[in-house]
Amino acid sequence: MRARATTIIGLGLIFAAMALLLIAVPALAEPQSNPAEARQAEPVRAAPLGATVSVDLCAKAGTLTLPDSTVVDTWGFAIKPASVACTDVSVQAQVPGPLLEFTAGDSISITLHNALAEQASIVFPGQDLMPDHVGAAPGGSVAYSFTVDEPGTYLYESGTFSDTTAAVQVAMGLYGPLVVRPTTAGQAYGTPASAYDREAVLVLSEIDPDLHANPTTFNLLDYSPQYWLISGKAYPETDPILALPEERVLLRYVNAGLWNHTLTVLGMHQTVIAVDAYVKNYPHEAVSLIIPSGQTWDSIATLPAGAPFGTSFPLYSRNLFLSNENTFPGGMMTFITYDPTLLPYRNYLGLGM
Amino acid sequence: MSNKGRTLIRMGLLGLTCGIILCAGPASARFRQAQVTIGQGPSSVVCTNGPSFNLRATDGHISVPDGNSIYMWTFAEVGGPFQVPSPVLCVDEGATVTVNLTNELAEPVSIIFPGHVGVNTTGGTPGLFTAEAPPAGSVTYSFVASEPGTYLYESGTEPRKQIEMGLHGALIVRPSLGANYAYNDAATEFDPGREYLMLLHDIDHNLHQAVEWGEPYDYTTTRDYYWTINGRAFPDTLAPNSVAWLPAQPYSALLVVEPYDATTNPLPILLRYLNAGLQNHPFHLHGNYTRIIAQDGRLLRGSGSEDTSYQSFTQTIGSGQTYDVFMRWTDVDGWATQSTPIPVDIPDLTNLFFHNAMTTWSGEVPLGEQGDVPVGVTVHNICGEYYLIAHSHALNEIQNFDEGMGGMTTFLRVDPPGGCMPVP
Repeated sequence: MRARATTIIGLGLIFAAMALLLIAVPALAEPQSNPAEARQAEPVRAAPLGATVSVDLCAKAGTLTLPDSTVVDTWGFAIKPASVACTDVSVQAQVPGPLLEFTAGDSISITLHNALAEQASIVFPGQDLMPDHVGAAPGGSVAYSFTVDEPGTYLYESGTFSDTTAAVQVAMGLYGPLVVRPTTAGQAYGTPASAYDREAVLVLSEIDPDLHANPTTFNLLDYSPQYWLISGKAYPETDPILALPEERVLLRYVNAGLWNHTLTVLGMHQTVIAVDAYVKNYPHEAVSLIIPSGQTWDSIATLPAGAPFGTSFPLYSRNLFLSNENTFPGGMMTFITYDPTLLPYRNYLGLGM
Repeated sequence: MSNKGRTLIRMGLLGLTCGIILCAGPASARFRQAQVTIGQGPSSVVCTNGPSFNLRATDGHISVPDGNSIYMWTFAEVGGPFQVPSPVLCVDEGATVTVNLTNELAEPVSIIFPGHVGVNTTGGTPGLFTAEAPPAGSVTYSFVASEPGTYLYESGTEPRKQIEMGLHGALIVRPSLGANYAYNDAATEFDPGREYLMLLHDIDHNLHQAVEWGEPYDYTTTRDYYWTINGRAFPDTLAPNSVAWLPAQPYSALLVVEPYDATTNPLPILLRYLNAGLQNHPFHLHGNYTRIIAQDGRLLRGSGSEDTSYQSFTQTIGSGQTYDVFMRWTDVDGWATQSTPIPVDIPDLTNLFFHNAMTTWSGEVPLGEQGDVPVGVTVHNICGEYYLIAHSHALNEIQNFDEGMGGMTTFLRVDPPGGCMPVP
């Protein structure tokens, strides 16, 4: 087997193992277990490998536990291990779905195995394939094949809008982030302006417990979220983003919620380099970003030099969705934290300090 | 001015304005009273100059045009009055800004400075975002204002509650190039007499009442009923700075522009938008495009200094965002001063609503005194100026509670070339 394919399988296993833990990549406790770090230790490739990558996903019911111990029923995606049925208890639905990572030029084959009690599908906004709004019947499967040509940050989500459930499948949890990497390591878009030292995928969404309790009868006119999530977690359970002073943190925002969200970082500006994986000719700096529903934004926040050890820079909803139900603090908030135990990244990448 | 004056202005505004499109100048009469200081119009930005500031977190009430009064918190100057919004802090680029905060409220408060790097704190107690001043305590913040531009300062303590309660304000960093430039770029020179604050906010008065009465409030049921610019709701937004009948709301939001002329009036006016509210607000001017030159205190320039500013007629000001916006009046309507009729029909008196001939529109004595409309109010367009509405295009936000029009609305006054002598 080719080395690249091995890597992909390896990453897939990591995703499966991480289950709900993974999304904010640099937030993992031990640097050596950080998949981003492992990836960046690979030699820089000169050209796309054009690998063929197969992914099997399950859509199935699960649960999500919120910081105040509220448990809501969800529908989520999960990696389906070979020769394990989606209905097996070892396969747990994730919210958001597993991070799908590919390299530009890869040929992708994704098979969705539907273990829900209703029709389910996946659409891949920004990818070159016909959107599927039919999908697979309960117990069935459907395959999607496409080539990921352009690097960037994308979303995948349910495309099913059935007569019985309206458009609740996304709100129930059937969404996830999809990242296409350029062939140059350490860059989001294969351009010097997109170079970074650490990255975090921030999937934004909301939870209205009433919807989750009654997905087939819920009236979306009554949608009234009580919890606000970053990558499936509400503060104080959100993953911190760990970095060192002067490091460039790539923030991949993916808004899978039904609402627009405005996100602020304190103590530094963010430089917006792409929207919906479309590279901006002229990046601009901002404190607060409006991330509309269904959109992805990539920004780079560079930690200021000279920050004291342990400095934490709040990253939070400036719409101030900072409660879990009615309890502050909570909600859509995390911190970019200077963690002095980290090993410097740039030395690995040969980018110079 | 007396309550009577205020009432009469409202009568005029409600009665004689306003197709949403265009409004002739009923508000003009009262501007005659205002004193013009050199380089400063009666509705221009009012700076509290630094770089050292002594602020106190305190409480009081503001007035909204439907007769309600709303309990607010604010950062007021020590020795100065309660005011909403908090003072506009103005400093020069490179200055070390020091803010001493004293807490007169019954819970901890703090200040964060979005967009600034390396804010040091002295004293206070540790908080989630920054050091806080405990009740009756104090804390000091200091940082170097290294980049010119428009910034918010606001509470970093339970911000969902405290920012809405009013603990926010504007911070302007003047570039070293000069105070009549927005940034260190010669292309950012503006008319120094035409610099305007546009600080947006949204209010659910039920929160404010709950805080005032010490009662619980369910944040998940929030629904806004009032929307303000510079702490005022329309039509109070039109009154000049520091009018007597709005003692806690000193900042006007009236915009004034004169027709562009390459020789006699070459410079744009500058609008400094800031959104301290929780909602994003799509702000919309009639008549001309505006040019967005900067966001969040950063000039829009490419890495090779390319001009990446852009024009819009509606600009969504996101929560926590600031935009610096230029506007030139280029007379797109072909309107000629003094010779073309004002392009709006003054409504027939029979179409106006009065409860009776002796009653104010509200019918409420606390809103004003009863009496005849004085002669002065019938004078419109005294120098040929005219008025265009500028407002949130989330049109549910241009009302006061359920009474329209109001809320996040103001006017752009277009003066004849050379200015409006009776209306400074």
